[in-house]
Amino acid sequence: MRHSGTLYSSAGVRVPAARQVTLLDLLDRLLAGGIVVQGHITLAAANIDLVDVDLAILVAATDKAAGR
Amino acid sequence: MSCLVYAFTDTASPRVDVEGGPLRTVADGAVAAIVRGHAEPRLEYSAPALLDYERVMERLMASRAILPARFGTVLADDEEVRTLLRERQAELTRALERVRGAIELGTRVRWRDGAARSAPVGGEGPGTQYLAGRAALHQRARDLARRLDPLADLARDVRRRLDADENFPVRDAYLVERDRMAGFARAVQSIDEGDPEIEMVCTGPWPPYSFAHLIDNAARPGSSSGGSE
Repeated sequence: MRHSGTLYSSAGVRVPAARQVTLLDLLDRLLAGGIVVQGHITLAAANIDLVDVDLAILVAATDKAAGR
Repeated sequence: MSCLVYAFTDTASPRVDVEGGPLRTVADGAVAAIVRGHAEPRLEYSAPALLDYERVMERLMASRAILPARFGTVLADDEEVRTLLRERQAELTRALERVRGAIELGTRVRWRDGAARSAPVGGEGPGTQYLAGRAALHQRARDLARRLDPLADLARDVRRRLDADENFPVRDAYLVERDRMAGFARAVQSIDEGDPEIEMVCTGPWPPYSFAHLIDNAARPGSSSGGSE
């Protein structure tokens, strides 16, 4: 279902950490990338700091989505 | 009903066939927006909403060149979408050409535990020490980034962020031709395994989130941007 993932992870970066990096990369891109149409970002929490994102919830949601 | 905008694409692209939502194409001239009817004037910011957005984007990128819209782009109605497409037609067309046939790969790199540290800073007052320490961290991040030079040759474009405070001080996004993806991953592996001082993670393939911008910066010298360079 989901093909974005970790393409390569150094032996030093343990696999769970690599998965977290993938999620951080996803958040980075969704919240800071993409075409911005001036004045049309009406996100309920547009300026929320990434630190506020509950990574645990996101990890859980991904697990569920992947049927793991 | 408002329009939640997922991405911009060509009018000539195949019909949208993403399951799990009534996606529509709103077109004007050569460019189109892929949208979904949205009851609220704002987009809810939640983990399921983010993941759903990404899943749609990954399905879309499989069949066409897309320019992702920033998560949370909600326009009033189809007419507002068409007006936008009409007004930004030339920029959208150029931006689509920049990403056509390519995907985005992300790399993060850091020093392995035990890799050579910067010379200790001492002698001066705390303020001076602090500033010297910051400068040393940034220098270390730049040194780290230089080890990734071979990757830039495999990419159409690069965005780099250096941040000395981060767990991974060098974060790059590479715009890579679809058929060079495997070669790129091998190059990452080769740098990582050939350099005992660093460790790397490479993620993707992503839609070209980091390369979707309407301002044409092709004339700018060098392809990297951002960071503290």
